[in-house]
Amino acid sequence: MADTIKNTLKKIEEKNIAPKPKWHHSLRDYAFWVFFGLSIILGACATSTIIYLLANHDWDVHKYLHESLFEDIFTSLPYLWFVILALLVFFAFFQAQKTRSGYKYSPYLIVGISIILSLLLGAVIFYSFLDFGIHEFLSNHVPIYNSLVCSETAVWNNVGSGLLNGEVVAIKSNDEFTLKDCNGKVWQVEYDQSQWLEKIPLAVGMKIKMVGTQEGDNTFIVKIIRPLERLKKQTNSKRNKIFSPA
Amino acid sequence: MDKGINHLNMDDQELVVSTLQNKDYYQYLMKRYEDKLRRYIRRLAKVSEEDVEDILQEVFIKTYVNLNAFDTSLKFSSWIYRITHNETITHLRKLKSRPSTFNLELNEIIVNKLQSDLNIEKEADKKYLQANMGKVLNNIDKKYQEVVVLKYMEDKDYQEISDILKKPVGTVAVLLSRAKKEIKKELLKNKTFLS
Repeated sequence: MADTIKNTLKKIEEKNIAPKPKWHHSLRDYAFWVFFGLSIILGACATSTIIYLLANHDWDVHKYLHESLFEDIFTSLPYLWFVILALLVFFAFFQAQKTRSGYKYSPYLIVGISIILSLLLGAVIFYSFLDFGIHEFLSNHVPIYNSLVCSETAVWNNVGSGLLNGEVVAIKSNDEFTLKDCNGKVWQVEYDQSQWLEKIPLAVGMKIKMVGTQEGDNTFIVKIIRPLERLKKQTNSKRNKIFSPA
Repeated sequence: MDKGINHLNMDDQELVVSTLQNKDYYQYLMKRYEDKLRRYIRRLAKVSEEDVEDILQEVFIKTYVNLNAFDTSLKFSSWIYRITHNETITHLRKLKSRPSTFNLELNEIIVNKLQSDLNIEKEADKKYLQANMGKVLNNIDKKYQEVVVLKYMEDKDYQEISDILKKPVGTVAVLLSRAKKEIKKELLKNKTFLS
């Protein structure tokens, strides 16, 4: 049998091997916790976007949007964000397992805690209006995003089924305004002020969606009218209040 | 300072602290674990004596290099067994061409412990088990072999096995329970003598 101890000591001496400093190991462990935390925060952002999309969806007018409530739910769920959330939860799980004491806990417990933390933090982000408009940003700047997530604009762009959306370009009177839809077509819209249930009055530049009927070539008679993204104004005003300089 | 006298009264953690201050103390830690780890490597892997020595030396070097990473909430033995386990597996991966079957040396004490846990009481059954246990253990899944080796051959408790294999204690308990079932199944397959 070889003298392993003697050979080991000789190798340590010859190659000048020394123990790695404590900070090196601590840094590695902290890095895993930081990645774990980041995964949870990003998961929370995904959760807040899921809540935003679900809360923004017009469940009450599903009969105009789809044939049944089931079809409406099935086509409106933000699957992309569910997949992103699942990936982030599993990333958090793998990071937690790599920490010094991560192996001591059951994988189910770690995954469960990651999901709960992401959901709770996501709800906090959503209800405190700190979501930073992830959906809006992606919707406006990443073309492929709208094809991956059921787009409000696309759903509400079907005049044949009585659905129309676009931007208010002029207010003609208390019951008539001009709208430019997403294809650039200009519409004369007739409505009743009592149909507008928002606190903020209808104004030029506002993006809206409507249920109604087409009359003639470019006239639209409104049954239901509301902002395209109902929570957007609220979110922006709250966000502006938080981030505006004192 | 007479290190030769002092080190005998030191526990592993004290020796780790002393080694970090003076590397000469490391030889005492190595001496404590040399035989145990060599035996453990042989039980884990069917490799040549030369490979056993290579693995052992690499274990001692890695342990030394990472001494500052030693988590004092663990037993030092669990930590060095973990390094040995990982190093042996890594070594086996490098030796792709060689079989990586477990080399189970069974003595009477180990077989008795296993028999007792498997609730085998008939003398004939015990003799059969003693004669065939090595073959039976070699036929069960590797994940079960690992826990059986640590529990019955290295005499480790659940917490130590958990720390060595980096698996939750509950998972270790489940693996051991399944390992026993697998062993019984294997024995029954070879000879339908267990009731």
